[in-house]
Amino acid sequence: MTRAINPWRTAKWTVIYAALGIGLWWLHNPFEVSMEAAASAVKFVYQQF
Amino acid sequence: MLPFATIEFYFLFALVVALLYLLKTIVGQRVTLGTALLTVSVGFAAIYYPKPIQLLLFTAYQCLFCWLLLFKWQRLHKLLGSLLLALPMVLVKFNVETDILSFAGLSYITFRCLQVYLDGDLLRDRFAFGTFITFLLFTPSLLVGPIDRYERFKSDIDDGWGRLNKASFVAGWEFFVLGLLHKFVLAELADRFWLSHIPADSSALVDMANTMYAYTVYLYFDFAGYSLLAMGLGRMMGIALPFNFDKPWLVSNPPEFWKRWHVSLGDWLRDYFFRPIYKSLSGVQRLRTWPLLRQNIALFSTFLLMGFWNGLEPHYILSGALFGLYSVVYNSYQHQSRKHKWNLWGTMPEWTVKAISIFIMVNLCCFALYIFSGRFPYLH
Repeated sequence: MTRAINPWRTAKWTVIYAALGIGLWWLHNPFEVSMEAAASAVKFVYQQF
Repeated sequence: MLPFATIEFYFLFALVVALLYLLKTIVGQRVTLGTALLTVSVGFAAIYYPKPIQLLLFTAYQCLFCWLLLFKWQRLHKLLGSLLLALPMVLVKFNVETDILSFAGLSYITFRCLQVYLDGDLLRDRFAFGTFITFLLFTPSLLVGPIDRYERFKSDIDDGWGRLNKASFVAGWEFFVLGLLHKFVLAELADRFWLSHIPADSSALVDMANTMYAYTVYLYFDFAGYSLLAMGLGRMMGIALPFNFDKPWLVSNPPEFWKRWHVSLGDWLRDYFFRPIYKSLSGVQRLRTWPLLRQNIALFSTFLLMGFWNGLEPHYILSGALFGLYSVVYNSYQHQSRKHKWNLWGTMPEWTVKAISIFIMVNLCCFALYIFSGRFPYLH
């Protein structure tokens, strides 16, 4: 038996994947840099831990 | 490399998760999930983690003393035992020893170890050395939690390879994707296009208010994103790490806030600091007839400790004290309102009361987090 497709869930995850894809491409250009730039934010918040 | 901080980490752990599923199929009868996770956690700590020797020596210290305290030194007062386990963290906080002991994740390993020791009477029979080491060093939660509980962690490990199934992988993947979105897109947007554009240390009221909201939004997406990544990877490896954030901007009072913001730390402080303090205050003769005062002292001390734990700088201590003050004021109001059957809001409709409470609470929390950020100009 196949599970019924939930249109809201499909729409929600389409938006999430699209936002993630565009965001990563735009903010972290995967062909040029690693995520080190974003990682530098880690020390900003977590340095005291 | 720090967990979730470099692109190499993601490639490495894609490989690790694939290997775990392969191991389950090929040698699942001979090798347990616990052994596999112990190997992964110790291997990552020893090979890839910054300052691996310090981390492993510290873990050995915690393991040795936790075992001694649980099985050999049972008569030692819990406070002394706790101080022994927390000693390295305290030394770092007071800058007594920073070269050897200072490394990312020190506090969270200490918290996990203290939980095992303080719940020792319940856990002694279920204590297993390998599981304990995996619990302390489990890669997804190694750096900043969530702060799991040993008994919950062990029950996942004991379930074995059955934990690696399609449902937990899909659930883990969804948390993971949401975590990436929170941390690498939403937090980055808040930082790059909002927070970074506000003049640092400006004392203009508009800039201060702007920084307050921008920092809170950034901190939420960054920290909630990190927690989601940890939960996601944990589930894909068979461990259901607990939730750390649950819509904290819909709360109307301080206790509710701590059930939704950094939940695992709030729960830890409640169980291993607030309750013991409240219990010990109950034994003070002069406070016997003052239950509200006892509660308020225990509440304020708990949040003040949280401030000191973050660091000895004035902004950390003041932000802890502020959160403590919020809780004390709300607790006193609740107590008086029950006692005198009196309500601040009169006959105002429930939804209006809720909306006003959320507005006040969100702004109070943003202000305390603004102080925490160290950007409040009058504290320099």
